[in-house]
Amino acid sequence: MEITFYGVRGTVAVPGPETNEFGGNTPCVHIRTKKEYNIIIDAGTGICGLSRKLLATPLGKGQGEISILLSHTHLDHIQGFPFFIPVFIPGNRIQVYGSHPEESDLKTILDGQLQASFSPIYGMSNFAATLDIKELDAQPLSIDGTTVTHSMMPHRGIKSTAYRIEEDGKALVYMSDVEHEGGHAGENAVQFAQSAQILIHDTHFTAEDYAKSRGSGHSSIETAIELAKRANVRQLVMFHYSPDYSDDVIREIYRRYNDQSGLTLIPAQEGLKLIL
Amino acid sequence: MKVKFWGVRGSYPVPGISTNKYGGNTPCIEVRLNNGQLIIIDAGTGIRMLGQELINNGFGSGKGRADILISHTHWDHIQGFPFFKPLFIDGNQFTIHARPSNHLHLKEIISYQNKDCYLPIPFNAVKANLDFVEIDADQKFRIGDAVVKTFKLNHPNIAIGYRIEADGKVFAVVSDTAPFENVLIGEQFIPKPPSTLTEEEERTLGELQFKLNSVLEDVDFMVYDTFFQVNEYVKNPHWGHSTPEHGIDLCLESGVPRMALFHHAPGNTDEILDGMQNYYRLKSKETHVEVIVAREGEEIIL
Ligand SMILES: [Zn+2]
Ligand SMILES: [Zn+2]
Ligand SMILES: [Zn+2]
Ligand SMILES: [Zn+2]
Repeated sequence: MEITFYGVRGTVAVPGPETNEFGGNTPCVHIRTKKEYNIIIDAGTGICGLSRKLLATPLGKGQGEISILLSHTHLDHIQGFPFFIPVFIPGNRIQVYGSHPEESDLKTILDGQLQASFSPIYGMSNFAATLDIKELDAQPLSIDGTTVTHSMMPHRGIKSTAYRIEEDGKALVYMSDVEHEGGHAGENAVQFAQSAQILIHDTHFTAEDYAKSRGSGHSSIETAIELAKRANVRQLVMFHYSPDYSDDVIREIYRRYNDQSGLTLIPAQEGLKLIL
Repeated sequence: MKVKFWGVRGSYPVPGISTNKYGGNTPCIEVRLNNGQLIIIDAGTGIRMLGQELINNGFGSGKGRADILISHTHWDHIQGFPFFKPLFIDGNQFTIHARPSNHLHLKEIISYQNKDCYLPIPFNAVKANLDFVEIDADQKFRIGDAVVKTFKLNHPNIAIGYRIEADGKVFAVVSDTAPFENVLIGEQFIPKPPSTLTEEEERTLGELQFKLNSVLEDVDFMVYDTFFQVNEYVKNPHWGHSTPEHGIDLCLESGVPRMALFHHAPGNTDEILDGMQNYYRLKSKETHVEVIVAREGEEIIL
């Protein structure tokens, strides 16, 4: 599979020269499977840039199909969805997978973002594509030759969904927006990430800032490194950077931990492509 | 009076090198009176940076106060609220003026994004004192030393324009809006541009245009929604946005000497906006309406 990053920033999009290098768009990761099927993880503002690229595929002609996996419905992970042009092209088929906090259902939450008070689209019923919103259950998903499993992670009062996508015996794990209990991953998270070739993990904070922000629902770079080591993961992707971190800060975090971590640390960056 | 742009982008924030000059943040304008009184228009992502500056100016110690006028509650105009740091400091005082919609109270609309499912920041984390004032079009009210007049704009679910008079100067924000022609946009969804207008619609558009012209008559500086190029407007007049030409016409009709192009489309890169600035600068030699392209960080002294 080919993995491309379109949005790597946490919480809120941050335009400006200080984010030119790593990027200011909120989370969106694109996966092209061996059979050239498109899977998107999260629909932050990064999906707007991806959207323009996908118009050159059958999705631009209303003959495409795509699966969107949502980690959770915080706005930074769904705010790009109403600007994802393929949803306005009749004929496209769009599957959305995800879970949600207890009190509501996924469709209602996604629709809530589009109601008349907030959006000129007035609701998902005005999308032209065929939309299929599926709540995750215990069964693994089979998406065009890949197997997708998930696990629920603690994220400040709600849960976020971590995904493990396997193709030809190789695994990518996406675990964003998580604060493991006490700042240390539990056994279930270690199991879930076990021996993945690539782990994309929430590294919102430096260790110092995390100590000041416990309970915010996000992880420090040190938590992520510790998890990667315990799970025998060799490549860790830093992801969901704090909106307060400039390129200089992110570069500094990377330098500081790259040598001492004993694994390959990859700072997520808009446009970065990884082949698995 | 000083006007400063903190966010000038429409629809959604656009980070990246191609927006470094004009800025990628969604709408937020600071209006500063000569006596220091602060009025903020819209709370797009630009308000986050304004908040950081205010923290160093009284709002950090809970001594700040400001009025926030919201044009309408589409995301790009309110999505910066949860990231406006002065809200989280005890003692600060904000009065939020906006037109409620969908039978929801204004507070419900503004705090909707703070639900657990949308944000990890509960609304009860707000420590400042907030007053919500529900307003509508065609009102006149005083805030501190400023006199504010509201007027209706042509936009899905209705937006409000503001005319602010203070320090002997008049400033107006006219965004988001389509011109009052071709389509009358209200609270209902319009799937495609209408082929004809009813007599009733024609009459209403005429009335609204007349009101807009009157309220802008003695305006010194107008900020106007110029999301569209002409060919884009023709395809989608029902989306509720205008072109620079619509803004210039409005200035000529109402005698406004100076306007800023605002609410730039996400695809309008710095290069495109530079081109527009050059083109409309030349054009102003004929029209005698000074046209600038709103740029994040730019201050206009009236
Ligand atoms: Zn997030
Ligand atoms: Zn989150
Ligand atoms: Zn807008
Ligand atoms: Zn709008």
